[in-house]
Amino acid sequence: MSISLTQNPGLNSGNLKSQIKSPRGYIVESVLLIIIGSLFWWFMVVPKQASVSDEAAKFNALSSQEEKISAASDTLQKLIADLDTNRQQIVQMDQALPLSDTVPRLHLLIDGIVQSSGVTVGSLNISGSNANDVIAGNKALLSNPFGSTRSLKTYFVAMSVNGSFDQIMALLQKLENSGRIMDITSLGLTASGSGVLTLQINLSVYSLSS
Amino acid sequence: MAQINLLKQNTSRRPLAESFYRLILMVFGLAVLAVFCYYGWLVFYASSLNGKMADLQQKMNTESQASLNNPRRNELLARQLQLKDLNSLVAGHLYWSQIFPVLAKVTLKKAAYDNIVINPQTSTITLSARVPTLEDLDKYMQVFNLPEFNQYFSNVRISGFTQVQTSTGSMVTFDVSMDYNPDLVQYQPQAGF
Repeated sequence: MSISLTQNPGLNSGNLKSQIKSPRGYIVESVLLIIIGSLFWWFMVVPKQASVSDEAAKFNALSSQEEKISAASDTLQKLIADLDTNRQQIVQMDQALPLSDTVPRLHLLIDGIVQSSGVTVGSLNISGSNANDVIAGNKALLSNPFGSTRSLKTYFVAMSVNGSFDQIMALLQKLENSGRIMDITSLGLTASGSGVLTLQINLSVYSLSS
Repeated sequence: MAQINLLKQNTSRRPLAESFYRLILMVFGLAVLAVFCYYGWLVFYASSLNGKMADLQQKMNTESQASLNNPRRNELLARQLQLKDLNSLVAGHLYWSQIFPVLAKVTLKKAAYDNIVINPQTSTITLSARVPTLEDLDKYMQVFNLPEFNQYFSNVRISGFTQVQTSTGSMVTFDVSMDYNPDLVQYQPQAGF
């Protein structure tokens, strides 16, 4: 019987030491990993996180803005549709506050009201338009009626009429309830000996002209 | 031939401490891997956000341009301005004819007016009036002390009354001014004074 004390090449003390990691090796590797991880986190992840956070905030703001624009666009479409469905009201609005007007047209309107109430006109004066105002043949306005900038324009009417109390009252009520907005700014009523009253009246009449 | 292994058998077992260190190392390794993955996700998310923002911007531009170039937009804006101005004018529109029936109610039957001037800025009404006697003038003024009559006209002030002789007798003429209640000239659908 022979006994062989073989030496397993893989189990010699030198190889064994090289294969079995010492605890110190693990600690060094762990510390290295912590350092690498921390540095990466601090110099790469944190700035990227901040940048992404900023971009997300911008995206939310943009998204909210887009929703508003979209809602405004929908509202615009709805309002334009309303313009078509409310033609009658627009006609009334044009009568109350026209988008264009001239002194002769206003003169005609007031003449009509005065005559229908039965009083006689002593004087009628309308002011408020300038000599330089273009009142007809404005090509730019004719080609794009709603394109110009508009503002409220006031015509001042000074009028003196004679008539009975009932006629004067009828005139006042017609002026107040006219489809065209006419504001009485001052009013004076004087009686003469024959029972005829004289009404001095100042009116403001408006248009939304360009 | 039998072999005898003289090495201690426990040399193949890892000590407990080694396993612990190994576990710690694995945990740190996984943590670092997770950090890398998170960074990758951030890069991907940022890129995705940028793409979405570009799309949104494009959509917004398209919608804005479509709205601005809408051929009826100007008409709508003009109508909106017209409606706004009209509402404001209607709110300030006054009905002067409503003063006269109420004034007639508070006026003594023997009194008559020759001249009426209304000042809307100060809400005052100034009248030139006449009555047959001084007693009537006193009665004329007393009316405004009654609550049911001074509801719409108050602070009556008389100035310059004179007694004049006419062909039919004498009369007292005077100027009177009073404050009127501004509600009187506001729109009243069923004015019943």
